[in-house]
Amino acid sequence: MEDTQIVELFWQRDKSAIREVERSYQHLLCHIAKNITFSEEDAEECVNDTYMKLWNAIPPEKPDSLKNYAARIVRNLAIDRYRKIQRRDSEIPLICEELESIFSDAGQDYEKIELKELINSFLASLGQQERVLFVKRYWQTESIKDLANTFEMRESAVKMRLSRTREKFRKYLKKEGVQI
Amino acid sequence: MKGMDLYKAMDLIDDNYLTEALEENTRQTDKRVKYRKNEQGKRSKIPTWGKIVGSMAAALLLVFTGIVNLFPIVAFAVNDVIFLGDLAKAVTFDPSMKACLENEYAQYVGEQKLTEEGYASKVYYMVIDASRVSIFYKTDVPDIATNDGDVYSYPEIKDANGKEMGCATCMLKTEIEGLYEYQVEFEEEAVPEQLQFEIHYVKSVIADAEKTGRLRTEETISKSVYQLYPEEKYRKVIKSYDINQNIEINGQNIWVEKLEVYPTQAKLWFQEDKDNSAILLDMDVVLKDDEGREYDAKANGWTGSSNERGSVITKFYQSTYFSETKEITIEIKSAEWLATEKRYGVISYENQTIENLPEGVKINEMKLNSDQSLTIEFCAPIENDTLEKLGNPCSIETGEVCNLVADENGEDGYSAKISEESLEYQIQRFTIADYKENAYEMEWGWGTKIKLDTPIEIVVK
Repeated sequence: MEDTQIVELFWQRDKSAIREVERSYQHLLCHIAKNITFSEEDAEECVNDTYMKLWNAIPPEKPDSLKNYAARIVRNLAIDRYRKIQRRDSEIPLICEELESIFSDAGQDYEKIELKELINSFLASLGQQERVLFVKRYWQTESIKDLANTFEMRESAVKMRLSRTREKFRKYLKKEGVQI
Repeated sequence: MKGMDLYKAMDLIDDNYLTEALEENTRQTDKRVKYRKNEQGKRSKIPTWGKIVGSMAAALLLVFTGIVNLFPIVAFAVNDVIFLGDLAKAVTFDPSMKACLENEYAQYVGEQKLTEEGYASKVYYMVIDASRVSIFYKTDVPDIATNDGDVYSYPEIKDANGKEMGCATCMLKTEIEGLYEYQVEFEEEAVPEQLQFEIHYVKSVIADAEKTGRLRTEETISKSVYQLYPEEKYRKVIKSYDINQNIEINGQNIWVEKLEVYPTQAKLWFQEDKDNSAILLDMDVVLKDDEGREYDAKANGWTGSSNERGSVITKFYQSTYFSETKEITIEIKSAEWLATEKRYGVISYENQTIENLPEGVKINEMKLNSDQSLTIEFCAPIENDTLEKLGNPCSIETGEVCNLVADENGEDGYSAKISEESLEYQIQRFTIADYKENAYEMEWGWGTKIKLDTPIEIVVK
């Protein structure tokens, strides 16, 4: 079933909407949540909470991409859960460290709008594979190993490319006059 | 801003980039390249093939679904009815396979298994030609273990007697969650009448490092075994074009032998002359149909071997099979060469040198460790395949790739990082176990790419 049809079911308050979301996106949502929480049980709970949030949010919301909308919800829920459980084997500390290396000495708080513009204009400047790699790592929280499998690259090559992209981002921020 | 806030702020990424990443095709590992042993290729006849009747397959599926749904425990696989049209949309990364499925060129299987431990799987279709069998299957067990104790699955192909086959295999993820394509390549041998396809369920466990020497090991829990019967009308499908033409590129001779076009791929065979003064490392070639459409080389689509006449190379392309073209133009645009005498370079710790170092590559450090291992650190220009181009240290006496000491991550014996001096360079480290002076050499793969002013064209009909 197409996203628009599922959204329509939500608008009609038809509970089969949840079943359709589950059928279409459960694996994806579980995958995202598990990447963050590193726990099957926590991931499942996040996904169930996501269904509930979708039910409460649509209507009035009418997302263009239900997949992205649900994925964003589950990511945020999983981050909140991670903050409570703080599993040591999660990828998050490493990812945070990597992101900090981009914005290293920034003692300032960015305006949300400014940061959004910076991130997206930087992504626009990248080649497709580099961009997808970046988004999969820093949004989707994919491990280096999974990225290496996905892109048929050595883990060292993935690390290298991400490192290059981060460096580019640093330089980009500098060029844009952001104090780092 | 703290790392965690930055991580959370990544949610500011626009929807279009998110869509792109979430929909990115995923390909799986386990790609093993098999080298042809000689150039005595067998030419098959060109049989015709018939399309399977899609509606018949659909009807079978529905009947099957009806029966098996009586048993709730097996409900997993059969709830997913996959039609060829859906499958075609799910293999967007492979235009040749997409064309096969859009033309309903597939053999329906529709068989499922449930192990005693409760692991379910289903084989939906096979796409078969004289060069390959692609098996589309689904399992509810992921292909990667993340945590210790996780169960994951992997496929394996065997002959009718349950013996392992020497075929190159490749597992690919499709756009449909949990649905995989398992490719089995047949190069010299014919596609058999029967294949045994196995899905193994394996638990990743922490091993006793002192006993096993490994930190992590696998424990097979269960497997599902399918007997598959590729139909004859598919097994022999091939269009073969003899070319047998010598071409001269950059003063070197290349014998273009033949082109074979299958529904799932095309293969071009050519041979280097043993008297050439340079080794052919790559050649930029496209196939064109009579409407000018280009069929690119496939990623990693290159195998090689050698015989008394020189090296034989087979390159893999997207297939023109369903284009109904009257002729195919083979267009050679450029070639990459490495002078024969610069192929190898002897490693000398005493002199701190390696012979024939490729242009642009330098040795940062060569260090003999207390355990007699030798660490060599290169600084090399970053290219897509820097590691492959640097080659491997190998034994001069046996020619075998020498043992490498695992890196800090416990993998391979290679490690890499970006040069701190320049983003365009990569630092690559090799650690050779049990080093002996002048006993090892590097096999270089760094050549010079020469673009042809006028591409060479060969037309086959």
